Amino acid sequence: MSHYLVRRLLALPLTLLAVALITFALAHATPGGPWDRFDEKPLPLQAEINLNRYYGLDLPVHEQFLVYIGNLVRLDLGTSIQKGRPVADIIGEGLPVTAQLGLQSLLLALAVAIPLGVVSALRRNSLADHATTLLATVGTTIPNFVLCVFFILYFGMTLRLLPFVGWGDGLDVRRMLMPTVILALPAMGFLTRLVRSSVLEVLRADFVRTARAKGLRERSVLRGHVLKNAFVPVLTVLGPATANLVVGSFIVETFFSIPGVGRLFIQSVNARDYPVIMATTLLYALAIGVANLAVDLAYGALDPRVKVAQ
Amino acid sequence: MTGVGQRSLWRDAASRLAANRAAMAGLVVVALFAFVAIAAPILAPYDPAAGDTRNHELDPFWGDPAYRSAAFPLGTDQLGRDVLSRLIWSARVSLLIGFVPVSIIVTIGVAVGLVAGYYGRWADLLLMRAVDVIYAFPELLFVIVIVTAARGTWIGELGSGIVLIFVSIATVSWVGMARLVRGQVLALRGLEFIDAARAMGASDRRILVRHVLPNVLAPVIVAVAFGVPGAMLTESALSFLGIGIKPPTPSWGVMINEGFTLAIQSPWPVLMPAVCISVVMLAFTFLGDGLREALDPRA
Amino acid sequence: MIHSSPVPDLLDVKGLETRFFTRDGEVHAVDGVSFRLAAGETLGIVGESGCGKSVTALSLMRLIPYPPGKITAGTVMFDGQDVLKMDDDEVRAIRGNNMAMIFQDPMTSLNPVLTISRQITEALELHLKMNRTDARKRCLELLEMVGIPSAKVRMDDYPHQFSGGMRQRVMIAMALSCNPKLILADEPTTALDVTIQAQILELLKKLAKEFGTAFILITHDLGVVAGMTQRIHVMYAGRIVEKADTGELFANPKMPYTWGLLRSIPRLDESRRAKLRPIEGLPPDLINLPVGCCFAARCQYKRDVCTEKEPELKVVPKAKPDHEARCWGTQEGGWLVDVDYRTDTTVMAAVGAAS
Repeated sequence: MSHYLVRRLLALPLTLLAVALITFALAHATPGGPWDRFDEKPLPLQAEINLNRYYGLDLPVHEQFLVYIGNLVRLDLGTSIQKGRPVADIIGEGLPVTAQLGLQSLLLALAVAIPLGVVSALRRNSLADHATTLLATVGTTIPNFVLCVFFILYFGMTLRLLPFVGWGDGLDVRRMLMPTVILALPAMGFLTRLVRSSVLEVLRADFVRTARAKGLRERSVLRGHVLKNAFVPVLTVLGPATANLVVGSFIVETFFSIPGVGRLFIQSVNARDYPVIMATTLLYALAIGVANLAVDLAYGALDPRVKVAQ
Repeated sequence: MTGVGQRSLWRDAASRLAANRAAMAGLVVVALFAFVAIAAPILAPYDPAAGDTRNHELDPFWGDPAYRSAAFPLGTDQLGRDVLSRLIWSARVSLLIGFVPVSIIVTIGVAVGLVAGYYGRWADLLLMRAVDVIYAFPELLFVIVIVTAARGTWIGELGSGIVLIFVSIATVSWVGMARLVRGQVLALRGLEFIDAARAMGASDRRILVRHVLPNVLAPVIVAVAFGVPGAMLTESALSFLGIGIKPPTPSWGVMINEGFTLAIQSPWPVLMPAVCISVVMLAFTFLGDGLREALDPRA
Repeated sequence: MIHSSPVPDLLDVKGLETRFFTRDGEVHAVDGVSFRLAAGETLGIVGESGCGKSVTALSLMRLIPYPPGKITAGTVMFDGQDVLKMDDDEVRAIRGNNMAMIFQDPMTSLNPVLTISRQITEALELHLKMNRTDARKRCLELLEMVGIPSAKVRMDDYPHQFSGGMRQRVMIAMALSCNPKLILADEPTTALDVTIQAQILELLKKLAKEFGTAFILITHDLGVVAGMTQRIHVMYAGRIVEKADTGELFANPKMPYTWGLLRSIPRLDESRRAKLRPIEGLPPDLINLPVGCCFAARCQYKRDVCTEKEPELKVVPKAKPDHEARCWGTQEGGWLVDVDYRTDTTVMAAVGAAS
């Protein structure tokens, strides 16, 4: 078990390095820099040279990269070109908001998907099943920005029921409702279908027949035999689900003007704010990597066949 | 001897698909969408990029009579451009986005996946390393980074940015296809019929093409059925974020981007492309689900 | 034909019919099966794949999944009560308790995420109302009885940590746990190596003797039933086509299908040049069963009557009194009554079949 753990923990920084390299190369490989302003007068040349020197942008690209990595190891993320403040501070402000949004959405998705999926599988082909499948399909299919449009237009503007700007203090349920729900919907839909098909598949297994042959009540069969096996694939999907939540947060935060890391990323990408782009990209890679690792470990704990294989 | 006639996997799958009403409905919508996209120059009443601001913000035909015009059945946007024409031309953009990158992905991905899975060793190793790096990341993130980086270059200018989107989607997604194909090949290698074919003297290439490829096709078909809407979705998201198709070329994402600021006065220019996206996505999903169920030999 | 047995029957099945409703039609998996079993007796049910033997066993325990399957007719008198008429709770009370089943593939039949001790104690806690400690004690006894080495340590292992033979022993222990009166063993050794097969069969035999449990042994392998059973029923196309004591069946079979089965077994004392003699043809389509005898299409001895009317299962002449066969040819007045399948050339030559 420890072999595997060590190997995975080592792989993470290497992957991050690769990600940093790719992102850096892409961001710097193309013409155009943070000083391009298309709507205002271009900066005077001397000002541009000074700023470049201040931000270290006058060095050759590979040197810039090494400088960056060196700083990174010391946890210095640099200064935002667009906002002029330390990147670490800016991210520090946005991170709790995004983390809260993401966590809320994930929990909401699980809380709805699991019972719905199980019930749907048990009452296969019933009205409830078809309705659930339809909702799940809609949730996964309709892009989140479309949902944002619908929700904001209807609940926000027409009914004026829910505010749709900002995040408030993190306790404002009405303000957080729409973004959380919209972010959760794709995961909810996907997880519902997954739980349903997983339960259906386990119900067909031989060992379920054995359990019934022992005279167990259907409820015991379900609890002790079916569900425990059915949740294993659901767990493995939580890693990629986190990744999808991350991407979803870009759109949702932009739409609802939520001051989180997602909106920050989009802003930095549009403004070519390299330090922020790098920092947020690495942050995402780290978060997803940790999520995947956690899922793998939990998977090993849940399924005894996996443990021994290591 | 047996009462039932001979069936092949494909015939079986086709009949099962045909029996799936949701999938058939999806197929009809997809066909309609493709038709509209291809026939755009004939169907669209106006030039989607041209607009007369005197006609701006007109309502569709079910809207306020004071702000309607029979000349613009679905109304106009804030620059006076006909919404209907823009919707039709957007379909064309979406169709291209759906199929061009996916064709590239399938070609490269299947080829690499076959080689990696069948021959193994360094081809496989290389592929798995690439998978590890790219999979550390959600695709959209990568695509955003690539697109923003290359936007100002000559690639970004081609076709109002559409070529750049092709390239970025294809670059990021071929890995997933290769991984899928490789997995299938590995699973098949474990089955004896490959050894049996070899024992009969079949060459590697023959084995790959005649025996392995047909078995790999089924999941590839399903992946394509979901990949097409996925690519369309990516473009919509990019266009919405302002880094996709360059205006004035319309795409549904662009229309949402532009329409959103207008939404308080007139929700239609933003609602209609949203509905279009949703309907086409749903159609592809039903179709894809139907294909997946029909091609699964176990069910 | 009714014969009164000196020992009251533990199991009396009459006219059992089980059907599967599929897209292509109704599959008559079990089509009018009747048989008896006395307490402590071991009965073998043999037949090729698809003949309905497994479905019969599952029907006895009412484990047929609906959809698509359903028991459509018959009675199953177990210990004086009709299982088919019981409600769900009563059936569950019997399952695992008075009637237990051993399945074919122990790998897929055991829950991979539960320890084997848990899987055994489950039934003990449920039926015998034991508490956890007592149940574990009993579980240990059972595992030792079926020959699991280091049972005390291994009882908390998971199924995938055992070999195939060991897993099957675990299944046997599970079946025995509540001292059932009847154990249905569905191809218990098919998934195992030949040497392990012999061990498992020896174990079953020992347990039958020690505890007086009745067994129904279902298999396609005639060799397995030869050493294990007192009586054998041969099934084909969902019905029983021959019933006899074990020795009698091998010495004096009275149904062409059985002849075909016995003839197709390669013998060590044959010349190497001798060709294998399979039964030509394929089993019939269970959705569209042919008129007349279900085996007629593949039978070398058939005559017109065989394709016109289905024979009934009846006692046959020139055999032991309990010996029944479903064949026009071997029944009273038939053309196969005096035929010895081992040496027969005349009838085959007359019908024109190649040998």
